[in-house]
Amino acid sequence: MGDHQKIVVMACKHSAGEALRELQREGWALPDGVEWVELPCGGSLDELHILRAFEAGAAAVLVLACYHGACRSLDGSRWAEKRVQAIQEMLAEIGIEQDRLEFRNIAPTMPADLASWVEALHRRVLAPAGE
Amino acid sequence: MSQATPVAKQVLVLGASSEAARAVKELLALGYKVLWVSGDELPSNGLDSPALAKYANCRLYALEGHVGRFVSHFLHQGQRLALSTSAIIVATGNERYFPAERYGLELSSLVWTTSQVKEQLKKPLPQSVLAFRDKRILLLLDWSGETSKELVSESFSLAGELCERCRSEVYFFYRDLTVDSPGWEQRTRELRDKGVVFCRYGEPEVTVGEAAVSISYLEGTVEGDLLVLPEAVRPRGDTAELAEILQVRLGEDGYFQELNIRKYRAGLSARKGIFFAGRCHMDCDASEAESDALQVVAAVDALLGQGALEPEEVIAYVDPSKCIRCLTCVRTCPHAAVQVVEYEDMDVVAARVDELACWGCGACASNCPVQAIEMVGQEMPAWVQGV
Amino acid sequence: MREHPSVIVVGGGIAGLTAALNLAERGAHVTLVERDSVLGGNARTVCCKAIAGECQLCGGCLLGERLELIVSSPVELLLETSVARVERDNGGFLVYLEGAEKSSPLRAQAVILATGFDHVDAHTKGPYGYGILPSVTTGEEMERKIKEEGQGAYDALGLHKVAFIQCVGSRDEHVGRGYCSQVCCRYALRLARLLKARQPELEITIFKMDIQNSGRDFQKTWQAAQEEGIRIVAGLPAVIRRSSEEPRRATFVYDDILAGQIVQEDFDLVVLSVGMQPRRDAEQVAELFGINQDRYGFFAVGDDLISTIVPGVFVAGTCQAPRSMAEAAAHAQQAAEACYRYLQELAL
Ligand SMILES: Cc1cc2nc3c(=O)[nH]c(=O)nc-3n(C[C@H](O)[C@H](O)[C@H](O)COP(=O)(O)OP(=O)(O)OC[C@H]3O[C@@H](n4cnc5c(N)ncnc54)[C@H](O)[C@@H]3O)c2cc1C
Ligand code: SF4
Ligand code: SF4
Ligand code: SF4
Ligand code: SF4
Repeated sequence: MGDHQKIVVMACKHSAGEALRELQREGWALPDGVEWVELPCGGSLDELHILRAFEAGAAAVLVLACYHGACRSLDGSRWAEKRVQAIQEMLAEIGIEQDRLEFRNIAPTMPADLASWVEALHRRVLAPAGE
Repeated sequence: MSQATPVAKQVLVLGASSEAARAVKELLALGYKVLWVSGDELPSNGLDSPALAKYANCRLYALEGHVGRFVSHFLHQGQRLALSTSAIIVATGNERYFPAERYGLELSSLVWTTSQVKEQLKKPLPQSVLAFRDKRILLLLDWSGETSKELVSESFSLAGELCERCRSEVYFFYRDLTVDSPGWEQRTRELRDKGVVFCRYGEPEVTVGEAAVSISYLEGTVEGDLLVLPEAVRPRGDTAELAEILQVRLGEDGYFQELNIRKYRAGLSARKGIFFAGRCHMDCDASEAESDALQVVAAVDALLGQGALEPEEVIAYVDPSKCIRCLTCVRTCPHAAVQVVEYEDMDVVAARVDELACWGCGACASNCPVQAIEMVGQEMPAWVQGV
Repeated sequence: MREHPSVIVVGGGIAGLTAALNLAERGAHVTLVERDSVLGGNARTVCCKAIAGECQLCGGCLLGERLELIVSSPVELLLETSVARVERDNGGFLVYLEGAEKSSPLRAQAVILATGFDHVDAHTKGPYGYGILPSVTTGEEMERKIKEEGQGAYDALGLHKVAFIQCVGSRDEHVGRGYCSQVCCRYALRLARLLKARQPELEITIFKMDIQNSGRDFQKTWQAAQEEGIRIVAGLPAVIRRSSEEPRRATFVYDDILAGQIVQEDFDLVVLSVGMQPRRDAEQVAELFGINQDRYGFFAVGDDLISTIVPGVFVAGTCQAPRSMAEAAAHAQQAAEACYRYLQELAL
């Protein structure tokens, strides 16, 4: 693993953030190399944030927002998904693998899924290929 | 960060429903100044207090300001009226109608609505009771596909009253027995004990004859003297207009929509300081609507009770010198917290975020085409700034 | 109102958290007493039932925010603590605690009981074979499994046919629970939709007596489920047995009332939609505070559904009657209002 390599998780405070804190209360910790950026709402995610994350050396970016209809600020999760789609199209054009940017809906009641997504991404992106 | 802003313990209650009356009463007891306004007549239920101002037959035509400093503009007896309050409780109730088309039946001496039965029972004795005395009454629920908790609950009460006061023989036809609220299962059992006959139908066939009515269903045919059909409820006709003035959303069903499950506090709308109580936003019977009003008052008092409001930890700030007045933020803000205003000290017209109304969601900032909006208080890693 | 009146909230589930937060925001000094080592109560095992990116409004999300608000609030939290003895004290209460932290008694002007519910034990419905047949589980276990293992917990189990059986241990006066548990239709339907959305080829049948469907919100969920191909049968099986053809499956005979026929069918998984019952120690708690229980064992209340026969003792949430999380929270907020008014009058 190159030491400038990291995974950036951009996460809505109200869903992913709460799930993370439930995991932390149970003693789980984010794997090394995973940087957690907490957003006040999926709606505040800027396309620029994602691009900057890649600029800053992110091997992958995972965007987590609420399920549609559960967003505290009504449309925030939809905005977030739209931004990710826009960047994915851009990545495709410049030939970067699209699977370096992932969007997922999440609820505070999903700590188990959060842990498994982050761990899977970590294995896929940061762990050396042949062990 | 900004200091707490003092606010007055003054609330506007909109609507003439029983839940509105309950909210008014509770607010007065907590020492609030209450402005009670309705488009219709207000109930004369002895609610009088020096802290209460009542305005009946009043139309809201505009709302200015935000939480802590709302100014509502009304037309009252040909006069314009502006009322300042810190919060607004919308308790306008719903509207009843008889879904004749869906039932495919006309009302007649043999076919009544639940409301008609209720009215009759309210008349003086013996008139009230004689209309139903020893008659066989067929109450057909859930047939129009439009049941509401309010009408199911009322039908339960009517069935009981008819059995007890009028010695009627009541047949209660249902598709699925509705036990949707605490205590309803027990209510249905009490009705059974009083002699109400419950019949489950699949597709009932209803015949209205010259002197009798009959219902054929799974288990056979029952004849009766009177067919009673529940009415249905729908959002009041002025709900959409009111929502536009208040800048709050309606749900798909046309009722006011509370913020959502996530922030569930009683009747919280997406707009700070505006609350919904009772049947204008939820499916409930009259007593649940009044309980809802009490929870809303508890929420209002949690907001205003300390006499001051503070902004959220993260809020948006517009740099008026960068803003190009494109109105994107005004349109995207889900909490109606941005407006384009004149900044008098700087002599510019630009968007401004009300710091008390802002939830800090950042939708405005990420949508602004010229990055004129900054999220104050949001911690971001240095690389986000391109450092 | 007296400067900082004191309130004790017993129970840190969704109801207790909601009542405590509301009263604390309004300036009361609140102590929350929870016998468990964590807050959240039964809501901790409620899983997310969102499908295809859309929230199903199950209410599960209500807990997380409150757990965060409570730690940053002035509410004093006493975990692993319960009430040992209660004395009347000058119009208020002197509450002796036992547990991890405090030993000196707490003085309070009012108490809110929010001790919640216990899950109905599916073993008591013997003929359904719970605990004996491997393919018979409960709604509670399904919620818990999904919460703990993730949304895909049932994806790779090779299921083809799943049955949900409603009203297990509820609505049955013979077992002393002649009430509807309110939540099991809702969670069963939403769980069924979740399974169906993840495994479209799964055949799902819901067996019910009646379904509680009067709410206009719920009617929509109900219709959606049927449109997605979830089958609803009016009629409950009397007995569930091991399938003679495939011992890991369960089989039962049921009377499809609306179709007017008797049918025998095998299933890979049978989910018993268990409901709620009063806490098994509700009697002791009622005795401590001198309040009554209703005929089923829930705490007895007046017409406002909040006040007990002891002035200053209020109840909130599912310790009074079965409720969903949103309803328990709403009830608790109403209890907070009643409690606040009581404190206000006490001060005059
Ligand atoms: C199988 C199942 C699935 C469900 N699914 C959903 C769903 O999808 N959506 C939904 O909205 N609802 C659901 N519910 C309902 C939900 O679980 C309840 O509405 C909610 O948990 C009730 O909260 P409460 O605070 O009233 O009680 P509880 O959650 O029971 O909390 C009570 C708390 O009090 C504590 N306590 C008890 N006695 C004492 C004592 N003597 N001293 C100190 N502390 C004490 C307990 O430890 C507990 O923490 C479901 C219920 C069941 C049974
Ligand atoms: S951050 Fe912007 S969009 Fe969000 S509430 Fe505040 S002003 Fe509205
Ligand atoms: S979106 Fe930006 S430029 Fe447009 S009005 Fe709002 S602040 Fe001004
Ligand atoms: S937990 Fe329930 S309320 Fe929350 S997102 Fe999932 S389905 Fe929606
Ligand atoms: S909620 Fe549904 S399954 Fe539960 S007891 Fe009531 S009717 Fe039966």
